[in-house]
Amino acid sequence: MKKIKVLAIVGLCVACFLSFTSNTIADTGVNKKVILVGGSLDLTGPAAFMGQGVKRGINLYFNKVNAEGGIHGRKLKYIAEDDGYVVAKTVSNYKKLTLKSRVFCLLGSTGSVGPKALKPYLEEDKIPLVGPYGYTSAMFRPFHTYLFNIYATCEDQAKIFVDYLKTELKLENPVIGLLAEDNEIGQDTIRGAEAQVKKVGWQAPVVELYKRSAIDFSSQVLRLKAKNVDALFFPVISSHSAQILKECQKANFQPLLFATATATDLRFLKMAGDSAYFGKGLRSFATQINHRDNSSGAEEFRAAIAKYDPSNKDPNSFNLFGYGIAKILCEGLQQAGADLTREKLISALEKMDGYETGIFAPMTYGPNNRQGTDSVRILRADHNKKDFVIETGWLHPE
Amino acid sequence: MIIDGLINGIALGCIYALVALGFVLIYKATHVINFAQGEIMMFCSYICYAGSTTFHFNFILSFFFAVIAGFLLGALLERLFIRPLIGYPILPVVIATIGIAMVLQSVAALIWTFEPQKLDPFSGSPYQLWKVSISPVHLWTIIITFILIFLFSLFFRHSLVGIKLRAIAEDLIGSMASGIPVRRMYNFTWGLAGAIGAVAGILVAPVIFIHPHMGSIGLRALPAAVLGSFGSIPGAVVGGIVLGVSETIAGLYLPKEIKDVFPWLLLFLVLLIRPEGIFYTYEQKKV
Repeated sequence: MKKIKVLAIVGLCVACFLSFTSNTIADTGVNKKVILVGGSLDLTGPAAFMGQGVKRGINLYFNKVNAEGGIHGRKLKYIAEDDGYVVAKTVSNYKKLTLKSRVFCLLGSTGSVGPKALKPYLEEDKIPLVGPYGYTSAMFRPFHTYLFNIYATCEDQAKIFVDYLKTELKLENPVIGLLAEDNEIGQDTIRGAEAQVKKVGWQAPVVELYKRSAIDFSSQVLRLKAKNVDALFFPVISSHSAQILKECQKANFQPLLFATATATDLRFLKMAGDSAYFGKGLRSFATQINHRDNSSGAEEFRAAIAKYDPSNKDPNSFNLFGYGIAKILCEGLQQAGADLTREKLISALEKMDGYETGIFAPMTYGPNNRQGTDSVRILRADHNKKDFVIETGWLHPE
Repeated sequence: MIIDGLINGIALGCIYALVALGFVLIYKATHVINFAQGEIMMFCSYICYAGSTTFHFNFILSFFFAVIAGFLLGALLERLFIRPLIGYPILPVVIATIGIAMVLQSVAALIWTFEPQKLDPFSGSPYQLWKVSISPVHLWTIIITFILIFLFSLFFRHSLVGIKLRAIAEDLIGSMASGIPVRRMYNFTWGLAGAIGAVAGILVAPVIFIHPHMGSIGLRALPAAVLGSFGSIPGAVVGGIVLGVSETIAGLYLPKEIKDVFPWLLLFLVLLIRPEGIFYTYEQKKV
């Protein structure tokens, strides 16, 4: 009787141990049931509305995939750590995610500064980061094996801006203005515009830069007006875009106005008010679809919200971004096969050739390509609809 | 271009002046630099926003709702966090104001999130006066600031409370000896600074939108208070306008790298020539 008792206890212990180990996450963040994905996002800082939105979008797509059976039978779990838009915290979050939570890979970011700071760590630990939120070429120049970008850079956008003025609007040697922050994005924009105007034989652009802490854009706008700028491109954050539009209206300055993807949603139009429709109106370079339009991607996104996140009554472009990058990662995970390793994921992503997310322009990576896409499409602020309408398909720089 | 720049600069300077006025009022009465002044401004602009959007008040009602809330907030902060520190060295009090700033920022983010919100009661096309265009928000900012400054000068010159506040600023011990309720007056001063912060917040909101970090404008307005001798109400106004105009004009005519540092260069220059600020008046004492 005593023997049987001992055997029962030992058996129970072994069963518990086996059950525990089978559910324990391995070093790579993958076991038979779960794939752990991590991300350092700004959830409480100045870009928290972006970070919160991206997190919600990622969880939306993961919930959808999990409800449909997961990836090769594994459920996806997203662990988001808050960095408050502070680079030092991004690095400590990375340590926490990789050493404590032991995630398999990283997904998403708020801005490009954090992922740039993580480059040496990703390289050392061989951990891929898919879908950093940023428009700067410094994300993939020089080439970085583990950073898989999603968006066309501001350099590409500036080139497309010049191409569009020439080929679609048929302008001849206009005065081009650039108004940007004095950072990498600003430098990318200048580089792209200068290269393209040189190519088409136009005069050099008029450039106005400002610091992030700026609260007043009147002097920049007045200087651009004094130089008779015909077309102005300002790839800046949404609140600054709205401020610039208001300044243009105030100064009665009416060039062709081009903003970037941060200025493509209804909230932005609400902030900008009448100034979005002032003069020749506003066009924006969109790096993703509008979730309110009739495309299949938008319909899929809306259906997913209705089913898996019905409490989200006011979905935004950051939810859509999160949804889109999660879709790219899941496609990579699916193609990597059931025997999942980081190397296999990287290899699968590298084989992506024109992958249609329905959200972004077709994604293409390769052994020497981590940009994903260089395409944007142009939206126009429509006064009657009080919304953006699609003006072009996906455009590449010439 | 210079006239447009000048008008923009005066409007920006009026905002700086109102924020600097909040600094000056508190400093004059209590010798504390309130680093939470910008955040009080931010919080009150959110209250005005909430008045318009959540409670559906019209703008005038939301404006007064926010100003009263600003007064109560300032008085409450003084009562809860500053008064217990009276008698201690000045540093803990200043640190306490920094703490208040951080708490207000977090509470605002908790209630209204970090997403920028729009409060634009002065929307509309700019007015054209000869070749100069002036936006409604700039026009109203200048008008409201000057009305407020006028009312303040009347208040400090002719009202009993104003005279008591001046007396405390001049001679604390003498004021106490003559029966002026100093603590109550301190509380009132914080309330007044909160109310004026509310006005500044509502006026700046259409330009920079409302978000939990908009309080950083408080630090930009600090040189205005220093320029104006950090204790002088007319000094804060003139300092604010000098700062706003110099920033805008420098942006127009000097290399773009200079624009952001120009107010500070100006401040250094003034401090080198007149370390006590432009509006400092020396007391003459009979011996």
